[in-house]
Amino acid sequence: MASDLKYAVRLLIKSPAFAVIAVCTLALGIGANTAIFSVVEGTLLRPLPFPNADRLVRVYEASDENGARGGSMNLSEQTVRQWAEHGGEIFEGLAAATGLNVTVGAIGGNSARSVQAARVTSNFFSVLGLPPALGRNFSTEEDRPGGPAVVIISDDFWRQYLGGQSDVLGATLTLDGIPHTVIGVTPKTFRHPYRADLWMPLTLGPPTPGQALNHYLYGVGRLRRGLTVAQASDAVRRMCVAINQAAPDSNNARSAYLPRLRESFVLDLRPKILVIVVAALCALLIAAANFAGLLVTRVIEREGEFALRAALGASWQRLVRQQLLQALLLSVLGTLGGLLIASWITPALVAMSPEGTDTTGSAMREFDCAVRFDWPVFTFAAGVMLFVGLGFGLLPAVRASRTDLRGPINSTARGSTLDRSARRLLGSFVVTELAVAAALLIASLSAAQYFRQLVNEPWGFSTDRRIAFNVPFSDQILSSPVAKEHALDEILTQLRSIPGVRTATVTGPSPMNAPRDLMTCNAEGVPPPEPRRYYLSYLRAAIPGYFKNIGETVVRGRDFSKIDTADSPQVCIVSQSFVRRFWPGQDPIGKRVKWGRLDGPRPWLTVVGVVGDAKAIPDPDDGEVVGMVARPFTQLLSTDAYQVDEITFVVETDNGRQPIGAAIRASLARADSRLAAYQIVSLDKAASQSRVTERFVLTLISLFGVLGLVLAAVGLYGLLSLHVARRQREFGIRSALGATAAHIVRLIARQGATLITIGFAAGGFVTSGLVRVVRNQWSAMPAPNIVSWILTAVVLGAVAFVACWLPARRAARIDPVIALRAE
Amino acid sequence: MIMIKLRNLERCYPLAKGKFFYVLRNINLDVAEGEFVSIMGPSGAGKSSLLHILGMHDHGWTGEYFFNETAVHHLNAKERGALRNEQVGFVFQQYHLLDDLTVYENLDIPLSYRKVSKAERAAMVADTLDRFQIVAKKDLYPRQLSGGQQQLVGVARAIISNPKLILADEPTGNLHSSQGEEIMELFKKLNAEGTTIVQVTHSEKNAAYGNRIIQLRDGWVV
Repeated sequence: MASDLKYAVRLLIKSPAFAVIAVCTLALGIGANTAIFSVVEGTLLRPLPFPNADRLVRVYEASDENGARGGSMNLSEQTVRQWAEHGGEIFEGLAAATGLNVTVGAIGGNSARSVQAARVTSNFFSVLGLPPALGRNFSTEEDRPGGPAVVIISDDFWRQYLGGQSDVLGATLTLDGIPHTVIGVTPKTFRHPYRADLWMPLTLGPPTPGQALNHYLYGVGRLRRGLTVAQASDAVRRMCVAINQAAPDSNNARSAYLPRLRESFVLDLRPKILVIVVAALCALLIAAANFAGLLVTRVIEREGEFALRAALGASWQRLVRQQLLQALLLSVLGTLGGLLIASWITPALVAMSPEGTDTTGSAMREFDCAVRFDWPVFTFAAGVMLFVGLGFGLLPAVRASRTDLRGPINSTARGSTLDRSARRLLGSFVVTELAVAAALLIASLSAAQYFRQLVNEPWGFSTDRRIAFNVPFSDQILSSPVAKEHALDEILTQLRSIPGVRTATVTGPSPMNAPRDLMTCNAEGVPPPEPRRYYLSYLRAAIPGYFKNIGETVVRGRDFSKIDTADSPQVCIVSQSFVRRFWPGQDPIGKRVKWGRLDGPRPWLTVVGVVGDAKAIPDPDDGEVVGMVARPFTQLLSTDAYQVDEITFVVETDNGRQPIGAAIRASLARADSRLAAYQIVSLDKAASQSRVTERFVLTLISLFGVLGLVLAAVGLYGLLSLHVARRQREFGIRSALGATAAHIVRLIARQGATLITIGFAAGGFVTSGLVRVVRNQWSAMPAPNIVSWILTAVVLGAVAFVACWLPARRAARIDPVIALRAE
Repeated sequence: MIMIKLRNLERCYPLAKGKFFYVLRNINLDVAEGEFVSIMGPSGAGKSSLLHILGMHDHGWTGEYFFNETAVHHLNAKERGALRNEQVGFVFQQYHLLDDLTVYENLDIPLSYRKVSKAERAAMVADTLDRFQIVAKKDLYPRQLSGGQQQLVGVARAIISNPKLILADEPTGNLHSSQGEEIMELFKKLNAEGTTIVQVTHSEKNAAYGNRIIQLRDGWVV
């Protein structure tokens, strides 16, 4: 055994090119796959850290009996109350939450700041099954009206703002001016929901007529033991019928959509993850084909030696052992290399992974998402390579078991060219690699184009030189519409007085977060959709001149003006997509939009203008959103139905570079000392950070495409150059018979071109298979377009050309005398 | 008429420390058109080296080489290749047939490198197959032939483009005596038809087929 191992080491040292190519192939295949999956697992796939997490479901209500995802929405207070009361057979617990920003008063050396928070029902933590790290959870008395002001804080908040003080329990925090007692600290890494640092009790108000229309509550339930999701959905349907019979109300929910909690965070990512998994498998397959091809080449090269050894009495076990040891040695070196590559790449990928505020994917960041080395994937990838190594290590045994040893021995003596079967075998590896690489590249390019389009879709307004920031706008700070209007005017006046500020305007929600505020509506002359009888549109609050200041063109009619007061006729501006949806080919100016249901109490709004469409990154939970309806702030503030925690100011500066944060904070302090500006960010920067999940998926897919290409290039070069090297004698003979260098290059190029053509054609079939697999899960998977095909053909053609041309050029320079003397 | 004229031809390979190893020393040789010359000598005497220089496969020599009054030593590699393709045919001891090509295809190869039209090539191959009486074997692969048959194909391949000169490197070295005799008779016939032949051989018997013997020893003509 030791002598065989020594021999294997010596052989590898003797063939450094073979050893380096094989080890690099293995290391890249194992390392890159492990690194990418380590990050994907941490950020997207890791199970939730709760006991019996499979019984946790996200709870949506639906206004029809289907309970389908597209027709479902967040819960209303009325639904939470009804289902908590009647759903005891279904849910062990049903909790609700809503997100908000609160201003935390100065603590020690830390000045007042705005912090992400959540209001949760008292049973929220017990439904999740999460005991606090310190202190206790909320009690049932604490989420009732008039209950004590208490707060649970995150581990991060405790350590960063309270210095991790041990006597934190019972300490007082001033939140939006109201003292709250700290009763607990959550476990490390827990920030759910809304990436909160603070949790306060959610008090459901007394039942009111409009309450059922306000679907703002995030719902989470723990199913009773033994109940499946399908059974629970049926039970909810029956419960809704019973509730409606007892207290008929057209706004009552009719059914529920109950995805498992973890799945609800990655629901829209699953197909994207599938794309990544398929791409990873393709890359691994290419690496495996590379390795196998190299081993086979090696076996063929040494076939004469094996035959000679067999003729001299070597047993087949001995021959196999020698080859297996070599494969094992390469596998170990490749695995170590893979470990190194994974440890280099992983931190870089972590830096690129989603950290933003998109709906999809980011929720997983609210739990333990620290990236850890993915040992299962590493073991799988290394195992595949070892299997390939051992599998092809057996090949010499098969070949050596042939009864006729004369051929191989003679061929060694003559330094024969590759025989037809060997050439076919090697050709099949080249074709396989090309086919998989072509499929991987075509699919990667198509998916990358799709994600690029998403990422680069224009915003529809100007982000240049504009800085946005949020300001809390809750009733607790500004209790009346008049106070709010006054505060807006004051702040805008102060902002406009900052040197370097050209314009200042205010809106809600942030221009880049349109999906935050939805509005139920109907368009005049258009029948409402049954059974819910309203459409959903994005709602935007704006002041006169907003659209001009933000660079969004008013294409028809007018912008809001000073004449749009609380007492004047109720008006709105709609987006072009809204007009296309409801009044195609008609003049929308003067038409009306009903806020809420047609028979509801809310007013009709007269359309006074149409603006271009601004990009909205939709929340998949919202279903169809028909466009945007903008309303004047003055008119919105005068209605009870408009409740908003924060508004967004946008200032346009002279050059967009000067540090302006301090000036903004000072302006706000002058306008109203209770208000704090937070999330001050240039719109350019915010734009570059939007769609982080898609950007990340785009990055991963591109990386796999590049990895596949590199592996294919290494493999093709390795196989083709060895292929050519083995034909030295043939080229020598051809040269002796009159072949010029051009003849030799042409010959190799022609054979290479044949392999490329077959490989690319096979790649077409593989691609269509892959696309079909992915499309089963993700109907939006773009069909490979002509650009992808052409680019792939050009890139792979170039790679294969170089892989053929370099050894061909070398072969053409072979001195026939030397080639023939080698006999 | 002199076909080959060598003057002061030398071939050496560099050794370590700036030294050289000479395989051919000061060769002066004339071969007339229509001659059948045998080069003999012990192993390592430089026979094959001389043959490859005559066949213009080797370019690393010094001295003068005239082929039908063309100064080969003034030609570049491309011009030498063109001259070789036009004038020289090679027969090897190891036959050097291409394993994956049939007999027919092996014969076609030299023509394919000489800008001969496809139809003309087909006619020439058919004619050669007929001339060497191997028509029945045209679709066989080299491994399906005996050594003598393979060398027969090797000779057929060497003469298919009607070279003026055939260079043969121990053409019967791998054949048993009766097969060897057949090949030598074939060379004799070709020579009688006007082809100049230079062969390297260890065999006195084979050398006797020719009309002149050149002895080489340690790179010198003796």
